[in-house]
Amino acid sequence: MRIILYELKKLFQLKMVCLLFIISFIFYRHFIHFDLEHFPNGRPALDSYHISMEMIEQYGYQMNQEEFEHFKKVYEKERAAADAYLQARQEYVDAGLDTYEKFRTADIEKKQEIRKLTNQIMFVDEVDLFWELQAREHLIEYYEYRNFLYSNMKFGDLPLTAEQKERIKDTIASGNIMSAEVFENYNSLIRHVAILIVISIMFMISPIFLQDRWNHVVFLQYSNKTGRKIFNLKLQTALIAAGFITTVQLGLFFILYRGNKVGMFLNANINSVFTHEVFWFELTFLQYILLTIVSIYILVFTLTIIVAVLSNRAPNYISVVGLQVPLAILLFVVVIDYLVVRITNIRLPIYFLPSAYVLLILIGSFLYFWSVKREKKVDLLH
Amino acid sequence: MLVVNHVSKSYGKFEALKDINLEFSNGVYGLLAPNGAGKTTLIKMLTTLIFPSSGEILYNGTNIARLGEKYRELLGYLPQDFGYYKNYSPRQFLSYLGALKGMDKKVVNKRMDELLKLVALEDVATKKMKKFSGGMIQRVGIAQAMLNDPKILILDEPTAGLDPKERVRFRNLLSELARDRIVILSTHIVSDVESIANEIIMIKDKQVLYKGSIDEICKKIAGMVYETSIPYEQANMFKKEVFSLSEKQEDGLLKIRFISKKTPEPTWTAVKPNLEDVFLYVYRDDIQESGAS
Repeated sequence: MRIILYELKKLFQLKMVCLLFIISFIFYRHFIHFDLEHFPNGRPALDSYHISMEMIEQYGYQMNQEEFEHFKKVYEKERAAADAYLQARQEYVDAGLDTYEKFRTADIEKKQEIRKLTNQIMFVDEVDLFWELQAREHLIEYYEYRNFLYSNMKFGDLPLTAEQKERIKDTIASGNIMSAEVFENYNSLIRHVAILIVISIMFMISPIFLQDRWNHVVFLQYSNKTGRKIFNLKLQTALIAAGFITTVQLGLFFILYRGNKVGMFLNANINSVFTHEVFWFELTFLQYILLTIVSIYILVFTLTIIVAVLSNRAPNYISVVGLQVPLAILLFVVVIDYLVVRITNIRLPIYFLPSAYVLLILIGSFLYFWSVKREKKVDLLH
Repeated sequence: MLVVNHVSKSYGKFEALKDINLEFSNGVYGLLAPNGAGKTTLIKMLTTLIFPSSGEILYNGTNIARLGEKYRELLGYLPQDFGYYKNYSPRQFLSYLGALKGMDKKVVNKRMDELLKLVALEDVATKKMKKFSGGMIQRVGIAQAMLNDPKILILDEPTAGLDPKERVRFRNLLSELARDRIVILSTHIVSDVESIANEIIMIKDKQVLYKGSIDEICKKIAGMVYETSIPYEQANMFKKEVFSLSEKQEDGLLKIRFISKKTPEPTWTAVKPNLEDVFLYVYRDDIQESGAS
């Protein structure tokens, strides 16, 4: 453990930690901050989010047909209130916008005056009632036409399998309430957080073996009592460091994410007609979050072993960086989207995720044991 | 006792060392050969950094590869290219190596104080090594090699970067240490080992050429080493007939020390050969080649 602590100190040099902080901060400002600061992003997303919360408060996490009828009644009431709002304003009556229906279907492209009047309500006065009505309409459409919407669901050119159809059927029947805004927002955030963690791991773990070779310290390490065991200890150090970095990054992210106030949705089922998402398993939003966290850790540990092995084999820093570029592209473009975001979605076969993670764990384990075994026998020439 | 038993080392078709047989007991051993002769290869095998292609290295009868950490904990090693972390102080670096050597923290601290004093670095013990001179770094290297009070101390070109005063200090230190341990000193600088080595090992053409005391080795060219003074204009002609060891100007003439197998002329004075004479004579081809290149 003493050696691991020394190795950790070497990895977490003040200079490296400061640079990591700067990288994280820049990345946060560019890719993460927006989804935290502007959630829900604009209107009617904000209204849709509020209404989803109201629905859970009133109906629980599922909405049956009777409750849907109630929901529609609320909509009708608000619509009547909107009619009253318009009729109380002479300029709208004069312009022929004396009902919400007319207001909604008015041709704002052709008539400048009508556009001015609608803009006044929507963007100048920002009358909540009118925004809420839009949001309610979308939710009603999603629920009312769910069978139609899902009948057109397609993943590429392939026809849906019987299992996929079954899951869609279950989701339609469930009446689960989940906010699309919350789910989208989390997916966008966790995708970027996963990318930031990958960058952090690559940055911090890359020097682990290289700095010893660069400084010609390997001869001293390998000829001491610890000998070639140091290689294994350094791999363990890399895994501990990676686990620590990931935990800190995720910890900070979730502290900030608390500000998005999604607590009410944590027990909501993510298979919902309102999110237009179907998953292989009946997961709550909290379970989904936990699953993305576990997947990030598995990804991180496999990546750490790959980066550490590259650090041991590559001749210099430029080579390590160069070798990691295709790896990073693969992770950012493909792996994170399939193995972290929308994890267990039915767009991929049910066995894809377990197979992919078993494969990742096997790759990591193989690389670990192979490199430790190789190091025991290798001649240290340089 | 450390025994090198029929050890060879090859890298593919290239043979770096061929059938090396050596025995080491307590004392200083000078491993003498020009650069590139295979000294470092032998040392790397003794320090388990590389493995013999054939043969074995035994410590008290057991193969060092099998002894593993039990062997390495007896080992102190200063590599030719001594590496360190530039942002570490000698204290930090020695603490790290102490951990690698499996030493208790308190023991490391006590030993560190002694050694840093011994190598005259106690004043800069907490300063970052990036500002150290070559000699100071080499002294840190010497300190780390002795940190675990090793039974086998292997030093590869240890005096590189040391000033003459430091070299003398270092030699005296080694002589004292060698009383109860094996000290193997690899060098191409004859004066480093001449005064302190109990035995000299000379490697040539991938094999051990000579192993013995300095006197024994010097006897190899006994009766062949002479000195004479000649006018400068005869120098070129003269040097074609003998092997010149050293030359200097004296009283308007060229005083030359040389080796010749011919019958001596009356103006030649026979002198007692020293280790440097043997070294220059044995490695004359290598030295001429490196001089030409």
